[in-house]
Amino acid sequence: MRPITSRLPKFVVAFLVGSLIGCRAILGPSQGAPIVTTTPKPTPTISDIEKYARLTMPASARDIHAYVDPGFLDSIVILTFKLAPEDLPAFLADAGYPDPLQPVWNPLAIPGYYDNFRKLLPAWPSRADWVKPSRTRHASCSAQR
Amino acid sequence: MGQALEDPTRLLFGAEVNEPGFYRAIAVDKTDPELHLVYLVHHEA
Repeated sequence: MRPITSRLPKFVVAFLVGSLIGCRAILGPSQGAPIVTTTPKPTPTISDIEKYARLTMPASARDIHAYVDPGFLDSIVILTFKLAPEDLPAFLADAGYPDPLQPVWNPLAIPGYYDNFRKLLPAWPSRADWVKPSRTRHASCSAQR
Repeated sequence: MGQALEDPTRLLFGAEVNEPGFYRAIAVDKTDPELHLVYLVHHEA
């Protein structure tokens, strides 16, 4: 027995297939709305960093490593670089830190301490780089015998 | 870098700005007087 599609005119088959694809698109996860995706910039430029982090890189910046994900709704920039000490005050003021920075004693104050940013930016320190593992151990964990 | 928080010779300073839809944290390692090292995370929703 021949399949039913072989007995139909080709334009009817094309119409049915097109309708099926159209219905699947409408009933998909996006409910027919356009899907807008962005991807992290593989090699962000200084302009990318300044645009998405909303800051101005100092002239003395060197050894710059950055991960820039412009995102669609959320954007994230992970950045590390070296700079001349005399450029630091102006950079901090431009970046929104008018007050002097405070000494960091608590790992909770480390940016990206909990998030494994090193997967995104290999130049970023690992958690072990910031703090010895024994210091992050919970008392309840070490009490178990 | 090596366990910066427990190394008394390291000079690590930081600050953060945390507002609805906006987060920016910075840490600056000033151990080297000739060249400071900046770590910055910026997130915006």
